[in-house]
Amino acid sequence: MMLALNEIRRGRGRFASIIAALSLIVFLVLTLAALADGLFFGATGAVRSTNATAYAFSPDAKGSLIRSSMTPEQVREVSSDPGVATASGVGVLLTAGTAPSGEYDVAVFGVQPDGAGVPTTLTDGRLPQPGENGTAAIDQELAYEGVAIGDSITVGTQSAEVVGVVRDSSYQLQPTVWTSLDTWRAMRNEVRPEFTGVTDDVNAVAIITDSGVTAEQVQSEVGDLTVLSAEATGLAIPGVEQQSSTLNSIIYTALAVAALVVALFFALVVLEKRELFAALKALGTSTRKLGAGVVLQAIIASAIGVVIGALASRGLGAIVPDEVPTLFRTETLITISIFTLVAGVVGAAFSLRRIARIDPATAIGGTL
Amino acid sequence: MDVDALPVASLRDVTKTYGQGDACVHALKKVTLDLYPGEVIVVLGPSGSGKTTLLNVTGGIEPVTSGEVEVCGQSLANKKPEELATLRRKHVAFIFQFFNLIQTLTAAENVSLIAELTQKSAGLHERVEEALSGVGLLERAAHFPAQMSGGQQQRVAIARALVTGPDLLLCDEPTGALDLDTGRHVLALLQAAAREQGRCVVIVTHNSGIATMADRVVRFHEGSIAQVVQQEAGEARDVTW
Ligand SMILES: Nc1ncnc2c1ncn2[C@@H]1O[C@H](COP(=O)(O)OP(=O)(O)OP(=O)(O)O)[C@@H](O)[C@H]1O
Ligand SMILES: [Mg+2]
Repeated sequence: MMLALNEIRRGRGRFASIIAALSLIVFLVLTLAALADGLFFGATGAVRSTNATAYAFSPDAKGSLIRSSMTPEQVREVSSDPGVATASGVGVLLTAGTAPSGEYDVAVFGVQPDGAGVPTTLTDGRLPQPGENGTAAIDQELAYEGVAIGDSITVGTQSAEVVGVVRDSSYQLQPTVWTSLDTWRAMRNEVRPEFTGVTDDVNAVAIITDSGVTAEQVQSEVGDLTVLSAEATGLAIPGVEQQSSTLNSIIYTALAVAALVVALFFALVVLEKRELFAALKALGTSTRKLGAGVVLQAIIASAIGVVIGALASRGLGAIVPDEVPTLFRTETLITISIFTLVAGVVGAAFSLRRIARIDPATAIGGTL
Repeated sequence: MDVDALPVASLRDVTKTYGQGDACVHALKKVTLDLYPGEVIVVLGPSGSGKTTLLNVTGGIEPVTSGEVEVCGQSLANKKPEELATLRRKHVAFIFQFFNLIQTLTAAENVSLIAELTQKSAGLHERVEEALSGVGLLERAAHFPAQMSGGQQQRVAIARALVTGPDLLLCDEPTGALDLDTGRHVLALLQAAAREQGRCVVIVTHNSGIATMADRVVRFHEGSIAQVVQQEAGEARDVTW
């Protein structure tokens, strides 16, 4: 162990190269992960941060809130199905809203305040109350941009007074405005004149299932409607799954590259130290000890790489423009740190067989 | 040398064959030899006569083809590599022609490296200092191998070998890379290890001049012991070549 540590301490130049390579990879991975998280959380907050555990959509909607359209009878039917504790309509409108501080692209969500699909992430003020029209809770992002409690947000000629702030609730990267179903419908009918006269439709049904009941079980009760869990609803938002899987595959590839880099580095180190390892074995050092030293070095190099890469990626995060949706999550950092350390250990492990094969006899007798 | 003592190591009818069929080489042929505590044995013989192979099988670094090797009362047959490594750590030390010190460690660190694996850390520092001062290099404790002469490096290697208190010291051409003066100094340290600490020291060499310091001289020829001479050992510092 002492040998392993001293080698890093005294051979800084050589270890600097592996640490630099690992730092770069970690930097790349964390930055991509921040982008992936930013996209995912920004796109799906409105269906993840509510009390709903599932959503039901009209048959042709392919799980899209915007494409779906449902009647009050369908909502009632869903609520009477076994396994459904609460079901209520949800309306969605992507539009532009005007507040005193400016005009914003927003997603207006109409929900039933004492029903399902209501945000659970209130950070300030309150949510609209049951039966209350003309009020709204806004996403924190709008608050950051200058919209305050007491302001009114106007869509067309319809306005709602801001009474509260919720967080992590954006939808398709747009900040949300949470209001009553009636207020939502009034706004929708102004923006989309083809709905004039329609007074009781919703887009989809938010469901709180009885505990232990899954979306699949509800699906089997509702006939031709589509029922998705809240999580699956997030993934069904156009682009979300594709983006996540593309970015995730780049991330996994980069981690595999990290393992490969470490494997190559230690393969070279071991090759170079064959004679020394042979001598140490002759002197009674076990393969296990030598291997543990190499693995320890890999862990240290990876750990330093993680720290440098994480700092660099946070540094970049601080200077990218706000339009780029990045989200640095501690969970992601921890997961990727662990993956990088594992990649380092796996990479180093390739050298273990090589170390095991070094024959102590080669240390002795220059004639061989 | 204590003739009544049990041998530190004994070889019975040891044969070592490398390769198979036409390409096979008989490196050792029915070698029988007992090694006693406190004696210096110099093994001489032409190149390829099996001297290094003798050290390798005695230290459990290579398995024998047939015959029996015992070290400190333990048979080496059927021992796993890790068990053999443990046995070496406790009882056997090697001195190499090219020292094999670790370049990134100081003299003191090189000396404590192996000892660290087996021994309690309490008092290790003192034992390392003692070993270094035993080879006259205490003031070089913080130096790296690259900052030392060949003779000094070999003395560090001897300190590394002795610090674990081995019963058997196996040296392959320990002076092969050294000039006469530094070579004598190194040999004197090996002789002292036998005389003062009762260790068994085996020195393999091409150099028949070294034989004068031996209690016993063993000559190898084509894998067999050709001659064993028990003698009154001279002083290591008087050897010449
Ligand atoms: N690993 C091996 N594979 C095949 N043959 C070997 C191997 N090791 C040794 N030999 C052969 O065994 C014989 C004895 O070798 P050994 O190294 O013991 O000789 P030596 O007396 O130490 O010679 P030198 O004085 O040149 O060091 C030689 O013929 C050598 O070529
Ligand atoms: Mg040899």
